[in-house]
Amino acid sequence: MSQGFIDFWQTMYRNKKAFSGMIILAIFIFMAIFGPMMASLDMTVNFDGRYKSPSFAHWLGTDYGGRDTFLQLVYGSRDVLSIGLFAALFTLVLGFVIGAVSGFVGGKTDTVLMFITNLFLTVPSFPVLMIVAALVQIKNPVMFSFILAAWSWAPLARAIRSQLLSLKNREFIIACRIMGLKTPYILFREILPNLTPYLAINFIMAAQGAIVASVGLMMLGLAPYSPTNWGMMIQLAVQNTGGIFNPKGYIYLISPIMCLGLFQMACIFFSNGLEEALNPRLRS
Amino acid sequence: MNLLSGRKRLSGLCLSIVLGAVMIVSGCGTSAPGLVDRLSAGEVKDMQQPIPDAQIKYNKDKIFHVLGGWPKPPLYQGNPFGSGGTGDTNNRYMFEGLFFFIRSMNNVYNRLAESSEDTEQTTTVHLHQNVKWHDGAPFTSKDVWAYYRLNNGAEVTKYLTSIETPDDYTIVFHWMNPAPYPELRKLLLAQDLQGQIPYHIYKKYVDKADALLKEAKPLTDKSKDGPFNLDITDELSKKIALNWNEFTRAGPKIPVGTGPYKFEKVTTTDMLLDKFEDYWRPDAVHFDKIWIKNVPELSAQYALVKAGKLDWYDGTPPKDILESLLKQNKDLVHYRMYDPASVGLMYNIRNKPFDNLKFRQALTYVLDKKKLREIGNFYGQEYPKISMTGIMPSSLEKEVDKSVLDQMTDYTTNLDKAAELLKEIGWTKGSDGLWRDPDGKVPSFIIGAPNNWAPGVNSAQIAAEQFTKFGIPTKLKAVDSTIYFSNADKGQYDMSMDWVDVSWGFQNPWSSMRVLFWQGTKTKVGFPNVKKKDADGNEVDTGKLDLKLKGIDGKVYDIDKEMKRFPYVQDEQERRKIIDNLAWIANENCWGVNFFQNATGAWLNTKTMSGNFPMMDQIVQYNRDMPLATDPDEQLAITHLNHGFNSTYMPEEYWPR
Amino acid sequence: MSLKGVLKRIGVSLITVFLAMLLTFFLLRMTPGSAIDTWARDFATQRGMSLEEAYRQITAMINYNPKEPIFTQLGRYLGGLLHGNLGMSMIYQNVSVNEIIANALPWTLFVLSVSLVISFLIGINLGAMMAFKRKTVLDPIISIYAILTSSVPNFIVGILLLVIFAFQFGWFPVNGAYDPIVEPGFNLPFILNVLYHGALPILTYVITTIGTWALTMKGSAVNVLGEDYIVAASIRGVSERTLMSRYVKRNAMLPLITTLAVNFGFMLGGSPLIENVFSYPGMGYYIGQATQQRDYTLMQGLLLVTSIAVILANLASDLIYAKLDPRVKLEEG
Repeated sequence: MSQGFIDFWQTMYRNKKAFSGMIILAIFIFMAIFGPMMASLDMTVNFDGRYKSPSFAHWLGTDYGGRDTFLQLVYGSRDVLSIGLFAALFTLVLGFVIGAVSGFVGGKTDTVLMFITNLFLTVPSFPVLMIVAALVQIKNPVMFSFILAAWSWAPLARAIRSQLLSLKNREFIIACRIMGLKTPYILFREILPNLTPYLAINFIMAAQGAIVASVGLMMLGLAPYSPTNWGMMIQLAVQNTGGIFNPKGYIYLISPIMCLGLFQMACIFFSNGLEEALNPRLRS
Repeated sequence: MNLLSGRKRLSGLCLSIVLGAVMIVSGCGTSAPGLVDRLSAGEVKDMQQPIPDAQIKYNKDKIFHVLGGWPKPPLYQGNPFGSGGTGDTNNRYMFEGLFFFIRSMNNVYNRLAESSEDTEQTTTVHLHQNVKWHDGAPFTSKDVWAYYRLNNGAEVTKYLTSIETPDDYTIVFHWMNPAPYPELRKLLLAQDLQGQIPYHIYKKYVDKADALLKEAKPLTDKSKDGPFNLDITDELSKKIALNWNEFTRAGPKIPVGTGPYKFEKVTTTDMLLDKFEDYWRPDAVHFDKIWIKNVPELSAQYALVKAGKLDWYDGTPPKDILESLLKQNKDLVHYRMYDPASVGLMYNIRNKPFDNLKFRQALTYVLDKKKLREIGNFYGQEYPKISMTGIMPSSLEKEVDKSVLDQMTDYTTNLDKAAELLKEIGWTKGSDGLWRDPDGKVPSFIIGAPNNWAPGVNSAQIAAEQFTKFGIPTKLKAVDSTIYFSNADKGQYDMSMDWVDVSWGFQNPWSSMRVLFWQGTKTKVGFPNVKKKDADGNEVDTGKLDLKLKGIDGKVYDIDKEMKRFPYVQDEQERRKIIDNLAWIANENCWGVNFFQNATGAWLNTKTMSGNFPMMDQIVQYNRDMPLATDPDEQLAITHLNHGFNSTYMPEEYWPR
Repeated sequence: MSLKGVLKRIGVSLITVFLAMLLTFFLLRMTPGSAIDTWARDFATQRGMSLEEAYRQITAMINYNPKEPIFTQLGRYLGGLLHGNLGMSMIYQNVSVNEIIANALPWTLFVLSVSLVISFLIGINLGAMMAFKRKTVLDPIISIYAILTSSVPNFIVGILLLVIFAFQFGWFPVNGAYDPIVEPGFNLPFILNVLYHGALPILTYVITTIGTWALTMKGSAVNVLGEDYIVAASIRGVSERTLMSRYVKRNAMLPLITTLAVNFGFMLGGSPLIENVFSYPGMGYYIGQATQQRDYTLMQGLLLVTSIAVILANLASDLIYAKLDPRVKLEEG
């Protein structure tokens, strides 16, 4: 086990991209955990100090109300990262389990699971979210993520299922079956590793999608309005700059976009390394 | 191979995006001189009079380009009262009223009415005689009569007993006894932007409505009101509604009005209107066509403005966008004007501790309105002293006596005063900086706001932060607008956002007081209603305001009674007294906070259009970014630019250049 | 694949559509909220009338009977459906839902299906290249491009392209699906006009979505590259080009076809990017309008179309899938 860990570490270390991705991710996680403790964010409006350029006092300049953009990103990171990661995780788990079981087991199970999946694909989200909003109060990121994931697992489940249909007739899976291995074992030990790169990219896209979609939930009234949520920061920046019509606000507009992009890039680079670490054939 | 071409396309695109972005930032100047250059060079002649066709340089087709909205085909139909209407922003070109009024001011002008005179119980209106409908039929008094008989819920009908048409061009409105005071009568009549419908098209429905009204008996119960003083029974009311519904579905396919332009064509994105050859004021028409575009995205609208593709645009973007647009297109000029509405927060007195006046006042002292305004709408105007008065703040000094204003509590930001008030009602501040209620609990409050209302959401967020920073944790909830209002009316939020001290119809202090005591503000604050026991002993809400409060003279007033008697008070001084008293009561009871009075604006493109631009002599000084006008004539001219504030055809004052 | 299997699948799809329709029907009626509030506010401002008066006039305009028992409504709705009639809009009472769909759907179908197909084709080719040449600069370049286009709100890209190509250079029209001056009909000027107007929206859509396709394709292709048969083929000396197009691309594309199908179904609901920025006509406007006004029949009708599209597309992808990958047998069970 420890040998495996050392191997893994060495592979990551050797792969420049993966290593830089890992470092950036570590910084993000550090920022989310300790950032809010290390500096305090003052959201008091200082209109004359709006759209300041980056300086030592304001690393990424200030927003439309003269508040520090960098500190807002730091403050928002805890909620944003947890929402992004949890939502992606839920999406992935639901999508993989339902898709894999459906594709692998087939028959009636497949029919029923795909029936449910198709319903989730077709039932409109607006009325459901409005009904949910009247019934529950979103209090924590986990619940927030769960509601987001409820709308994103279904397409993934279908994609996973279609891959399973092909995979399950491969020699090595047939061999496993002949050996009488249990379905969960085959799914998680044999099939999951085979799908890792595909799942990884879906995880990253789902995380990013969830961060952007969280703004939608806030604007429907499902969750309290949070101006430091990166998605909301982008939305506010767009509203106050018209997208491209306010040259003073370019840095402010670009900051949260870059921050979201950087997080995504770190994930992608990290997952590239992961692919190679987990899939020895790719190393050559 | 397609891969390679894909890559090439990609890099080519990246390059052009970068190039384009650079160009946008640097802002390519136009070669022709901008407005300020022209004015500085003394070139004002062409702005004072219409330009002969041969000399038109930039708008040879004589088309007036604007934005607008309408139900997209196949939803489009021609009855302005039909579902979805015909696009309210476009009606000003196709339809006219007897009078027109400018919403944020009190001015009423004649339009289809040539003149009018009042007696104690009647108002007689004389019509212009050469007016035609777009289908060629003459416009007569019958068309006015038809509107009020058919649309018998129009507010003014509650004050009328009958309408007579002694001849084709005379209408006599008979008022109830007592009658509203004369200025209010005119406002009530002018409120119907379009107080006429073509009788020759809708004869069937009008006659039916008239017959139904004739079935009704006169109203005996004075506490109720009905159209033309009639007692409309439930059964009759259903028949009238059904007839109205049939009328709304009766078409025609395209609008038929009396206005200067008639409908030519509509698609989902464009509408074309054509000059009406038989228009009764031919001198008012300088453009051959009006081309209305339907562009929903705000940023795409800015792009159109910046590119000079619109001759007129209604609205004021955030400060820095506005300045950047003016900088990049030297032909644009932007005018600002007061909105007869304020962005405000209301305390929900159904919830504890908001039922406590001192608590409400304490919160009000916490707010720093300047910051709320800067974020909500920079161009607005805050009034730090007041809480919420029921009167448009910019006209407080005009409508309320100075001695009364002096006796009002001053709510200017004062954190010490806020702390003092909280301590008085048993609240304590913990070492963590958070306030605790008398039971020792740290509260957590919610402000609700409709999600599609940027000034409200943005300023409410700042208010929540100011409360939180003071030690009263508060969060904002931006709620989908289709459920926000019913939630807020039911009292689901501790505080809720909406327009306050607002006048929806005509501007008149009574009109904004109605919003406070009878309408939107009432339901959000949660004023109690008179309750009655029905036959089975169940409590029934009568919907009638039950609010008795101490007035400025120390006597207790029944607010509902004061409001009801206002329209019939003929003496102006007495009316002013009622308003003085109600405004004072509202401010003292601190049911909400007027964050700031909103301001809006309009853009003109002076490259394609010329005319007597408002504030002409100050355009150079302010470099086309015009401040709020102080001169009443200029104010009027500017307010006239806003479609929401008036009902008239605007471009008659401008011409193609 | 057996005919029986196909028929069974079609049967299940029909049941799914029916159930989705029922669910939508009831969910819409359970949705809290009122159509009138916002509408009355706009109405009052624009017509300069008191809010009370605006409420009154609007209530008169929306003259449906909300107290009609829900099952009577359902019965009427289902009865209409049997005749292919989706009913009349509740708000715009003279207009049938069929008519609205007939007006909106072709535009959405045209511009979005072209966009989707172009971006899918470019995207998967790029993705396959990325997976194949992982050590070259292609991978990071496309990755960064994909990250940028998915982080930057797509409407900013839209506005940027609009400002540059429509306003600055004047190459493309500013808005709409065709010039109002051109007479609609099956004639060359009109068709050219439509293509000309569609170009910029399609370009924008493609630019903002190819990155995601490429990344997903790469994720999928990397799996395939690790397979024994690829390694075997490359040892056997199969040329790189053949290896890529015949083996890798074909196999890695499979899960993406499923995603393509799902996206195709979703997109019939309209695209805010294309409809708002380019004011292009489409389904999104009517769905938004119907939702705002709680026009139940119109919402039902439009959502039914999208439901059918999602289910049909999924069915199609299942069938295509089985055809593309011989190892997939259409489930008999």
